[in-house]
Amino acid sequence: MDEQLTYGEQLFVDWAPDESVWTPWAKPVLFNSPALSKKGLFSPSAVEGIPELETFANPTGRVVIVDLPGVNSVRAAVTLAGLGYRPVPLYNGCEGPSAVIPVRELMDAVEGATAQIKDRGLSFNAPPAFLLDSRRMSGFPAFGNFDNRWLIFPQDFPSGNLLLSKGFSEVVLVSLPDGAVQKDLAHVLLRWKESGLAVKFFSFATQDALPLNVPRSAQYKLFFYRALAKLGLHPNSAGGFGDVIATPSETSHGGYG
Amino acid sequence: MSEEEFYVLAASSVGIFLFWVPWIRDIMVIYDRRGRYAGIAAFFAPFFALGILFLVLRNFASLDVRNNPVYIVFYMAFGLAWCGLMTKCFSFLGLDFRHDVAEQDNYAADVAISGAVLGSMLCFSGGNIGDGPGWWVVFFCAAVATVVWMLVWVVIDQVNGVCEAITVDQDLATGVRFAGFLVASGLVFGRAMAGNWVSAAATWTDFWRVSAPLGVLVVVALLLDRLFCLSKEVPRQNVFVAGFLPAGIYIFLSAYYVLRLGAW
Repeated sequence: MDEQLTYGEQLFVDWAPDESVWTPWAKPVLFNSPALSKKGLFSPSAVEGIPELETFANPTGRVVIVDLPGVNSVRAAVTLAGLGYRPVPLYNGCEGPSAVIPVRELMDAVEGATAQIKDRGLSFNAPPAFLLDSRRMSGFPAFGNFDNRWLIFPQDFPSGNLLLSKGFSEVVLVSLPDGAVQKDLAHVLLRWKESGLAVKFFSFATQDALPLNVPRSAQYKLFFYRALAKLGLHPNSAGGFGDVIATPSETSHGGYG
Repeated sequence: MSEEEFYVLAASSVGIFLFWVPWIRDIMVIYDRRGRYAGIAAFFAPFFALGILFLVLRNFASLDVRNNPVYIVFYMAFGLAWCGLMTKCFSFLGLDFRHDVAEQDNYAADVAISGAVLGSMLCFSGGNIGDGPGWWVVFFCAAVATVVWMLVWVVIDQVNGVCEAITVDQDLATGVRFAGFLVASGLVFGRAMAGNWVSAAATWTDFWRVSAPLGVLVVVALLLDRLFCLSKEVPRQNVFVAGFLPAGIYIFLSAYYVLRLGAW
C-alpha cells in the first residue's frame, strides 16, 4: 500500500503513522501540497533542535502545545521527539502563489526533520506535542493574494476528557513571548482547564513550566463561534485553508462609467 | 407552470448547485486519513431525504401536484435546495460538515449531520402535505417548522453541550442519539405543518397544537443527555445503550404519535 503513496503522503505517514493514537488529529494539508508531491524539489537538511527545551524530559502525564513561528515550531518538534514526545503537526494552511503566510521554509523544515522524527522510533502511545505555527493569523491579505491564514478550534484537539482518561494531568504551552496565548488557542486551553487539566506555559527565561492564566473571551463556548470565526478566511478545496482572493473584475458593472 | 414558479425552479437549481456540489466534493476530494471513512452517511443522507420527499409528494401532496411530474420535480428541486440551505445553517448551530466530517473524519458528526439533513427535510416535507394555493405556502410552512426545529436544537445543545460532545469528544453514541432526536422532532414538526391551507394564523395555531407534545420528548432528551454525559471516567459512551436505543425510542415515540394523529 505504501508504494502507492506520493512523497508528501509518505512524509505525512512518517510524522503521523496510522497506528499512533494522535494521528486522527494530525493535519495532512501541508503535506498534500503539490510542491511536496515529488522528492527532490527541495534540498532538505537536518533541523536543529531548541536546546532550552531539553529540560522538558520525563513526558509522563504531560501534553505539549508548541505555538512558535514557522521553522521554530519544527525545531521544537525535533527536540521534543528526542525527549519522547510524538510531534503532531496541526499546520492547516496550504502553500500558494503570493501567499499571505509564507510556508515554503516551514515545508522545507518539515521535510528535513522527517527522518529525525522517524528515526526516534517513538511509541505510538507517546505523549503528544501538538505543533502550531504562531503566524497563522498574521499578515494582511489583499486582492490577488493567496490567503492561507488559518485558525484552530477545540475540534482540532482531543477533548480534555480523553486526555484525562489516558492519564495526562497537565498541558504545557511553548510560545513566544513566554506564555503568550493566541485567541483561538485560548478556547482550547480553557476547555482543558475546565476538564481538570493543569495548564502551564514553558518559560524560556527560567526553563521551567509555570502556571498559565488563560484569558477568557466573550465568545467562549458561543455555539456559533466557529462559524463566526471562519468568516473572512478562505477554505481550500482539498482541505484546510488557502485560496486566492479574487480581484474585482475591471469590466464589472459595479462602478460608474 | 407559471412564470413565478419558473423563477423559483431556477433559483432552486442554483441552490442545489451551490449547496450540494461542495458537499459531495468535500467528501470525495478532501485528503483522507487512510482507514477512516466518515462521510458515508452524509453522502447518502440527501438522496435518502429526497426519497422521503418524493414519497410525501406522490402520496400526500395536493392532487394537482401528486399527479403532475413537472410539479413533482419542481417541489423536489425546491426541497433539495431548501435542505441544502439548512446544511449551511448547521455550522452556526455547532455542527460543521466540512470541518467535522470531511476534514476531521468524525463519525459522530457524520451521523448527527445526516440526521439533521433528514430532520430538515421532514420539516420541509410536512409543508407539502394537503391542498394549498401555491409554492409560497410550502415556503411559509417549511420556514416556520424549520426555524422552530432549529430553536429546539439550540436549547438541547445549550443545556447539555451535545454538539461539543459530538464534535470535540467525537462520541458516536451522542451523535446517534442526537441524530435520532433531530429526525423524531422533524417528523413531529413536519406533521404539525400538514393540512389544507386556510390562513397563516390557522396554520400557526395548528402547528403549536400538534407539536406541543414534543415538549415531552425534549424533556426526555435533556434527561438522557444528562444521564449519558461524558467524563474522564467515561470519555466515550456505549453506542448501543446511549446511542441507538434512545434514538430508536425517540423515533418510535414520534412515529407512534404521528400515526395516532391520523390524517390531517
